[in-house]
Amino acid sequence: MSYPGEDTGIPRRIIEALEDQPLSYLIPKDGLASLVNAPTTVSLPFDRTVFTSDDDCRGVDVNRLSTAVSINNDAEQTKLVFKRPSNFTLSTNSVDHTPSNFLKGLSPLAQSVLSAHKESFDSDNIEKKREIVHEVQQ
Amino acid sequence: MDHFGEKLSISQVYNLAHEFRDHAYSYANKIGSEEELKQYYSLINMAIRMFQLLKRECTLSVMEDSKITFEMVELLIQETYNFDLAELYISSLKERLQTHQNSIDLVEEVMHCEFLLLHDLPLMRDSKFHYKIALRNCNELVQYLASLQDEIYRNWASVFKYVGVTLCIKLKQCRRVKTGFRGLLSQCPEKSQWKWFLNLCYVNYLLNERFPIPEEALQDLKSTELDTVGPELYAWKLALEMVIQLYKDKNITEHLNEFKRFFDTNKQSLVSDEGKGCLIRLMPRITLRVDLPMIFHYKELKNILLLLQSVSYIVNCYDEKGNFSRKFLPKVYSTTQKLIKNIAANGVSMNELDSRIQTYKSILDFCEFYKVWEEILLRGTIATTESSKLGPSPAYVKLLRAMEVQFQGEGAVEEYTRLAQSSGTSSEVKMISLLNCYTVQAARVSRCSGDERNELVEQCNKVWQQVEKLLQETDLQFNPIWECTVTILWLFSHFEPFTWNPLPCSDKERADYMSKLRQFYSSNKFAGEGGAGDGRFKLKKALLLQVLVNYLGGRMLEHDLGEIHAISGKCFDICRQQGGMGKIQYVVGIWHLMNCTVGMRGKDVALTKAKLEALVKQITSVK
Repeated sequence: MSYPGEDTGIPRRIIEALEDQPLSYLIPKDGLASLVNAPTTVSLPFDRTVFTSDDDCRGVDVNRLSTAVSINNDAEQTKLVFKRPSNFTLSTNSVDHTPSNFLKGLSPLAQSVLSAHKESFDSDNIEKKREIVHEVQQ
Repeated sequence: MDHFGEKLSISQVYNLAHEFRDHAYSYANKIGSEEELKQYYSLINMAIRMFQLLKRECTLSVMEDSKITFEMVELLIQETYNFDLAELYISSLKERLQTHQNSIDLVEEVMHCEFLLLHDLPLMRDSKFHYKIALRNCNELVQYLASLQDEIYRNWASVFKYVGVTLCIKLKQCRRVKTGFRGLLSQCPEKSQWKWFLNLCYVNYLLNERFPIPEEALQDLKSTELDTVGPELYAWKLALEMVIQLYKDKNITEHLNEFKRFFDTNKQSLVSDEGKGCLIRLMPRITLRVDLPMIFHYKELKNILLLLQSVSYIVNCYDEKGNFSRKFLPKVYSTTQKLIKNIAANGVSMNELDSRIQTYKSILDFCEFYKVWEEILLRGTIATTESSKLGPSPAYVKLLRAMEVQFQGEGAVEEYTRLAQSSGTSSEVKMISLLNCYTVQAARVSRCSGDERNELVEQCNKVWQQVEKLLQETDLQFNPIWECTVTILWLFSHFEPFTWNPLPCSDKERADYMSKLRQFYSSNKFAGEGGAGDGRFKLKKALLLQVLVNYLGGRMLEHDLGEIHAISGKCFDICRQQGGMGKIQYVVGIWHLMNCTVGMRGKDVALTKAKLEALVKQITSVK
């Protein structure tokens, strides 16, 4: 008795029919559990309060912020290198972006301290992680 | 400048530091240009300088010094790469604390230094080298604390054991992570928030790695009490139980209902506490703050839930319009974009927001990946994706490429083998690769001539050994879809009506796999009392798998002619619902034709023949 497709190359055994049919119902789900706990931040709060007394007469000369170069404080002379964000869409946002002035809303005191001591702050101080690792290795 | 003719008071300077920091944080979500980034950091810079000024210019009590140092170091760690500087500040503070005459009252301060040195700093440095050093120091600290008698030291030891486990996770020392968690859990007071928190970390870790979850951990998870742990941790518990179901390919309706009931009474507190995190109290003055933004924040949690739901339904996706995932994956995508755009400042650092966006982006990647998968199920082809897209993981992209090669009839044995052998591949992708690879090789055995047979059989056996080993090591063994697939592939390659060249096997193997088939068949049979039997063997409606189980069961286990005919008819029919199943439908159809002929159903014979003719035309015209 003849049957349809008898003289074609269509496989007759199921294992051969599966040869070019990946088991597509096996759907990978790895990584979904990590969406639950990434990013997790764990920190240790330290909630003691300090400098609350009104009659604390210790004073600080803010002018020494930029002038003081004490020998035993090498650490403070270290140039701070800030992190450049990797996901903030600096460029894509810029199309309909209205720049805001971050300094607005600061108290008069803060504003004057800031303007008196603003270091020349340029993008060189903001680096990506890879650049840093590279630098350390050199 | 006139303002500074006189000195500022110490608290004025301290408040200035806070003002600069908080002001920067309040703008953290609005940064959209280089100029604004610079402004953000000039504020942060000023905050750090204020703290430094206080430390340098004032005589500080040990308590004040601690507080200022901790606040400054937090900024250094979070915002800068000056980790060495941060370490220097902590170390010298630690020295001051330890030489202080009343050092017994300063336990909290000393422990805080240790936590920064062993936890915060290494995590930010994120290098194997620093993790190893921290782990060694952490173990020493734990030993020392454990040798002290007071209860407070016991609790601090518990905290640092947890830190040690965290470091082991980063070092990928799975065995030490598992024993670490088990040891820690066994020493915790029962029914405490701390123990349940640790158990949540443990279960999440096991799920991430796809390790089997021990019964005890599952019990602890189940027993987690809302009143003790609070709504945030409870939401985490519910989310993990949902993922467990999802990884088992089980029904999630009951879990969705549980979430609904939970939201009825707790939604408000999740919304209003957003960003505050969850406080975990071990004892007075030992409190950890934990934040999982994707779970503790109401909108994010709803979005993750919808994603999990969509993924759970993808396997049923053979109706373009009717399937849940078709509707909701795009919704998850657009919600996630909105969440990125409207990310709230909430008084956290820009760098923390930055790492949150990383997670949002991987949600977007998942959405795109699963949309491609829907197309595979609907049309039996892989929609060509932009090659620039990396997908949720590189292995996923490689898997799609290998499947594409297999769809084109070129086997993809090499591609699958490479994926399965690569150390970076997850166990799940490894398993998919191995099973597809095995199918292709078993098909080759079926078609082969005498001389190449031995070599091909050898290759099949090798792949199968890996399949069995992997199944034992992972949580895949608890998923009936995987178990069933392993069973039917083995039987297909070892029995005559399914292959021309059955592979050799022992009687015991045969008996084992046959008894499994019996279970799966009776629980998933199309006709008669289909769906009866043990719930453990009930399969989700994965069309291809359902057809294969019924075809196999119908041929090997069924004796009643009428029953056989009904099953082959249903198998033949249902194949049409999914794209790209032509060849399988043909094999199934030939069987159905045979059953119609044997049953002397003239009408059915003619109808089935006509359908098969059309199918043959369709298959051959594609080639």
